[in-house]
Amino acid sequence: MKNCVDEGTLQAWLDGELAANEAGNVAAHLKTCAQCAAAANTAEAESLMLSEALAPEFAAPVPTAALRQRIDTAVAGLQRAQAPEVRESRWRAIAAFFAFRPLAYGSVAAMLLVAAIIGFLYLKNQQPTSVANKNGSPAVPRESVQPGNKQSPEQIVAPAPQSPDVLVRHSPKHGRRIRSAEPDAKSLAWQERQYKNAIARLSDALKTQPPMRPALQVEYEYNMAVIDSAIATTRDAAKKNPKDPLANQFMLAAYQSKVDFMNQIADARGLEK
Amino acid sequence: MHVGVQAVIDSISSQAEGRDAAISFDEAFTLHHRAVFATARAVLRDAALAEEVTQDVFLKLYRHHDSAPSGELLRPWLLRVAINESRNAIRSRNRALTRDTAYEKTRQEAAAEFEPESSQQLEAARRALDKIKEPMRSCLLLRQQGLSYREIAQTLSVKENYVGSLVARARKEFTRTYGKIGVKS
Repeated sequence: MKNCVDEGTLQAWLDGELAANEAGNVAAHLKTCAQCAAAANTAEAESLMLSEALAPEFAAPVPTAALRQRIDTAVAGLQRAQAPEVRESRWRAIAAFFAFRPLAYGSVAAMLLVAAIIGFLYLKNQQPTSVANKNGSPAVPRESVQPGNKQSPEQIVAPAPQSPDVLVRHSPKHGRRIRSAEPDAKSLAWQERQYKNAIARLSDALKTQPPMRPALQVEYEYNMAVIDSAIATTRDAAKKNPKDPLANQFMLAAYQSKVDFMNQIADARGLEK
Repeated sequence: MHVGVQAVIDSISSQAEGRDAAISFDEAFTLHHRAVFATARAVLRDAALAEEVTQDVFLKLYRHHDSAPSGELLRPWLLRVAINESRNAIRSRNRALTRDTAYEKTRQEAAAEFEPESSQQLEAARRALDKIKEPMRSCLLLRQQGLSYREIAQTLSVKENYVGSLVARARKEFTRTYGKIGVKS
């Protein structure tokens, strides 16, 4: 009697809901205890009768097709009511897509730069005299490219860094822009050298960071290639027309975008380390 | 960029996995509409009302598909909603139709869906079921539909190791009443 199973356990045993070892214990006990064995027999007979009595309740056909149609209609009504929400979530998905890809901004900047250079070269080919007559009155196409032409060229060119140390930033606390205008004009070669130094330092700094993910690496290298080809193109143009401030400006802008891009990468990776 | 972007990507892919684990609305309907409809009909004893309740249950799932439980918890959730909606339907029907002749008519129509003998048997079984108190009654109905003790526990919000005794007591209660009715008819 001391090991007798209670009615709940017995029911669970009949329903096959007990764990294997518990079920074994119950079965062993029923072999030795006549009272529990009788209770088990009664419970089993009652369960059978119950199932038979209630079978029609659950055996009745389920109108699947009718239900399907009802629910499809109701869902369609709901979708019509929820249409604005769906549109909103689509916007959110688009916003999220761009938010996850900070490099996209770099790509866009690089593409704009390339477009500007192509436009510049195209205008130069259209009006070769405008470069030759540099000391004369400013030519029309030049004004169309650079509307603020009344300032001195040096002030427009401007992106000469004060020192390479300012350029190589590891902390995002510094301002995002490093275009600190140098009021006294430096030679183009000096400015180019400053940029090259800055790029070399940034490159070293990036090398000390842990390796990029392959996808990032590919995108980084692609952007760098775009910018490098822009630098090469503008450098050729500047060499051919050393007196043209616009050509010089474009070359320096190309260098600047490389520094900006590398800074952006260094910042982003520093932040998320 | 390494950790931050990776974390975002991980969270996206884990969301995607979650969506994979959670079945689609159509699959949920295909898998569970029978259990939902049968439960609603067992509680309501009215096929037309049971259809309405089934529609309400699946509309609720459609609206809350993101927050509704997935995997093995979905069926208990659907059946719990079905039972609650059915009880609400009974309450509003009773308010509208108490002692109304239309109510008796609906009941007779529902009974007429079945064969005469089984209709008589079913009426007796239903009367016996009506004598059983909750949650034993729902427990017995869900057990008869083949739900596991765990699913029953989740549907009715009772402890899993308590389900066995609920079923046993419901069975005894049913046998006592049904045996009497069975002898009488």
